[in-house]
Amino acid sequence: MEQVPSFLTSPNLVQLVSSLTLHCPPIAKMRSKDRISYFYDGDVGSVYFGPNHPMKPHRLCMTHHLVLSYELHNKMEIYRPHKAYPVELAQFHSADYVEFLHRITPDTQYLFSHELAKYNLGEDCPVFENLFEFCQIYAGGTIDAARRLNNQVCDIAINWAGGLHHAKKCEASGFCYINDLVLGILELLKHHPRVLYIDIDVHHGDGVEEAFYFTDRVMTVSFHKYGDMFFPGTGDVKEIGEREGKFYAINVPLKDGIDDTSFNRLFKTIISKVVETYLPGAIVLQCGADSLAGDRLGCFNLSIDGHAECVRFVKKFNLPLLVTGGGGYTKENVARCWTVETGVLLDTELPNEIPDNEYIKYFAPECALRIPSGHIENLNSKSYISTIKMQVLENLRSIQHAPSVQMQEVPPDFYIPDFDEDEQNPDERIDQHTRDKQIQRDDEYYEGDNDNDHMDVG
Amino acid sequence: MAGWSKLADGSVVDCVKRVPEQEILKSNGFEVDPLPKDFEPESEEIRRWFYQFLRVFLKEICGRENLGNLLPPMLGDAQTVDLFKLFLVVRERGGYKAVSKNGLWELVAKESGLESCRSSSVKLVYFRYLDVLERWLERVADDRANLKSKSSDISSSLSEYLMELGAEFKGVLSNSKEKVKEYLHLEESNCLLNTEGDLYLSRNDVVMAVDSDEESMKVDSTNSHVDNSDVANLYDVENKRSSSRKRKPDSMWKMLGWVIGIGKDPCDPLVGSLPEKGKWKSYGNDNLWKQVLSYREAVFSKRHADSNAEQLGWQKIQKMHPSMYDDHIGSGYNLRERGKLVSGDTTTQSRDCPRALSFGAQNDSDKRGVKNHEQKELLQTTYSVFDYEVEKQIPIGPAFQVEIPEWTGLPYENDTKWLGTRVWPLEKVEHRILIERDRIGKGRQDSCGCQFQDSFECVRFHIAEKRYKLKIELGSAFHNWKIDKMGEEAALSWTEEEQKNFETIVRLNSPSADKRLWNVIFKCYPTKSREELLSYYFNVYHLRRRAHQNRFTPDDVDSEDDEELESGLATKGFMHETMESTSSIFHSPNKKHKKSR
Repeated sequence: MEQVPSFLTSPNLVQLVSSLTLHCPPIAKMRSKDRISYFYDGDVGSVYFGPNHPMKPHRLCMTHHLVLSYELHNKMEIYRPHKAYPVELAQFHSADYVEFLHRITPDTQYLFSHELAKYNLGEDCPVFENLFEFCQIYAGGTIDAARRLNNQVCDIAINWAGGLHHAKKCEASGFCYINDLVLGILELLKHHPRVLYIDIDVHHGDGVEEAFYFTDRVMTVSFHKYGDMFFPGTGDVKEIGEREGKFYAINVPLKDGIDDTSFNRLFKTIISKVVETYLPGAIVLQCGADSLAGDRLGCFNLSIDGHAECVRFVKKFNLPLLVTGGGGYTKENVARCWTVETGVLLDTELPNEIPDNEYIKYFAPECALRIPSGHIENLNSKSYISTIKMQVLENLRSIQHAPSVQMQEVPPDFYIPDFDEDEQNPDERIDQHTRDKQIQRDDEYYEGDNDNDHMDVG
Repeated sequence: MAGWSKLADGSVVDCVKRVPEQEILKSNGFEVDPLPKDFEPESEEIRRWFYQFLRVFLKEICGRENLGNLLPPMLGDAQTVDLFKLFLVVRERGGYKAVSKNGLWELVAKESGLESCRSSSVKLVYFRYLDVLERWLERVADDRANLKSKSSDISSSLSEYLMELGAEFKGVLSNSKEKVKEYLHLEESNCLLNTEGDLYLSRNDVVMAVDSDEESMKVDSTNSHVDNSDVANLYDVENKRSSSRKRKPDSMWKMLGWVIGIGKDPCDPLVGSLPEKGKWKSYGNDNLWKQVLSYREAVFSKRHADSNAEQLGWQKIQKMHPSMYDDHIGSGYNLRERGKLVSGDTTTQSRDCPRALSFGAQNDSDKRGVKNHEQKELLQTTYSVFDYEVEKQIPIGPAFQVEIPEWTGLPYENDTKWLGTRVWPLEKVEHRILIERDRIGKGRQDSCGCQFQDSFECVRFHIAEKRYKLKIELGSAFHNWKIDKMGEEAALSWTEEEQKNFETIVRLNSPSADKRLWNVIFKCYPTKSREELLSYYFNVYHLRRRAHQNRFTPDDVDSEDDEELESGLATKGFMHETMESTSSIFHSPNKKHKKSR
């Protein structure tokens, strides 16, 4: 054989290599290039909620168009989602509700005033032409996205049409009819023992939280405006889940005008702790753009960069990632934001000058991609934010203590496993669960435990 | 109040020196003595109870709040009058009228332990404090007389009677629940509202009057329930309704006696130990403790429901206050605010109420403004006493949570169906033409080389150029994504006239006037599909409007598209007051966004 070059055997090199391995925990095992699946259906362009309704699916066309004009389509695969079947929607929603959505049309709705009230259709969630088709498209997109992740044919899946996080099992709410996020998470749960849901919409992700309130297989984390009767009214830091799901719902209630710096710091602290503690198999990220400055309904001061920074941070965990849209009612800003975030997920920095395109006039006169942060007074004092943070972290600690949850031994400081840890311990964990359930009825059991916990901690 | 009249009657009997208990039973028809065997009119607890009752009575029924706080009254020489004793004495002599007629006030004063020269003061005191009570009791007693014949039969069997009491008690509970419903739905009905409202006050008041020790709280809530049913009965009497509920207070009286017993000596072996809540069901309703506890439960859950509903009503008003939000988009917003309770039963009930409330509020928010102010105060006092969870709760139950299959440890088999249809990159190369491609993610060039940069023609040229490139590059995807229908291209199939008409129609039918606009548009363009019209609306109409704004009022561009705001801006910055808008949309505290830049 050829002679080994002398520099390869030099002790320096050995040292170098070993130090490299030492300093590069599995997190550094970067995928050379993420495979991205992006979902879009041109039919959303003709969906119209009606005059004066702030939800405008047309923003999806604008987003897609902006993505194309930056030529981002050449870095990813674009799919047209299948239209989800009623039976798929009924995985979460009650069959009668799905059936009703399927059947109702603007012309016949006056015959069903009782049902409309029952399912909370009408004012915020109007019945419009193609309503059901619209639901099928966006729900189908999220379901397909989850399935592609499950099949490991992509690493990141994007469905800007999805993210309708308010929809409840048996009723519509807050412009949301079908909760595609819940359906997507259910799909992911077929392959992952634990799924993490993160929500940066300005509104509380109540539909998702509610659906998974009793389970520890999904952890929901929502950052949102809370108080002043802001919709939907839930999302206090004290809502932490119940039964098996106790401590598996995290709420970060914020006040008006939070800015990039404090939001990002808070987001990173909490999310890194969550990932470290919970070790999810996959992450679902709802990127509602109504948390941007200048949103028609929102009240935060986030710039597009601040918003996108959250996406960048979550991407770094290198876990299967499903990204959806959500709220967002100033539609050019929505298009800007989601285009930038598509770029972030594709590791592509986008120039600020928007290229010419059909919709350029919507972005005129500056035609700039990034919007600056807003100037609403920031009502989140430092002490308020730190109180919230402490409370959330305190609750997270309870997970490590709760005997019923039995995670594998707590990994050392900020260690994000890249191997499939899911396969290793979950069985045990679940077994433990089943046993617990057989032994005792939940409430008393948990209460007792938590008391002990608190004593331990405090 | 039958219980009360029993006290009156009983005391008469008592003064006549201890008729055997059986006799009392008979004379009263159905009396079971809930009091300690060594019952004496002087006994402290009876006196205490009497005062409490009197206080509530004066305040709630007679509306003489001040009087109630001045108990016991004092005479000129700082001597206190024992109202309880006075009352019994006068009753014995046949009541106020009889005493006055026979000039017996001196005697009464003497018997009440006061100097006989004080007779006029005593008379005055009696008239002020007790006369109403006496007359009220008489009325009640009359009513009860109808019942006598029937009740004498019942008296024969004590246990039977107790059973019946239990059943009646149930009736009371369901009744009060009904009342809540009624209250929520017919909140405009003042009578009911007042009744309920007063009850709250009384309950609070009493609670605050006494210390907050839990046992005494029980006593008080029971008391106020006595009051509650009394009020109800009073209405009954006045309205000459059926007398089906006549004996209810009796059960209250017994309950009260029991509670008083506990309050006096919580360790009393007679009380024994109460079973756990889960086992309550196995005990009959004839157990006093159970009556008390169930009652307490009922009252508390009712209050919970009520306070939720009130809270909602109040929130609504607050929300609609113009100074808080400059948007005023919709009064219907509160349709979103649901009171969701934790327990299954009450959930359905309370879910309906806010709707009812908000519909009411839309019609006469002014009227409600006043009323809500009262409710708000009421609410505040309520919270000071009972510590409620007022936040919205996550509803729990199979109707809300999703069922998640247990993790088996093995992932499901890969489902290759429905992964979406790949549109891009294209399955097969459709073009052999070499496309000169810009660097991916490249922005706009600074200079384009056109003669007049940024002129209308220049912009148009570049858009068209870009579009053409995109079309060639995307091939079939171009149509798949309906880009052929994006942008001003959508106008190609429209004639000049059609376009002009469209603009006029939109302008004339300001969308603030609701959905009319689209009806008109559909009518005017019968040959065009809904999709085409919408596409034109978004891709041409709005785009042009926006372009217009960009050029002429660049500092006042309101990105917030459609319709209302824009049409306002188009007519030179006139801001619509959206007060009248009927549609309900997300509410947001900071309105009126300029395009942020």
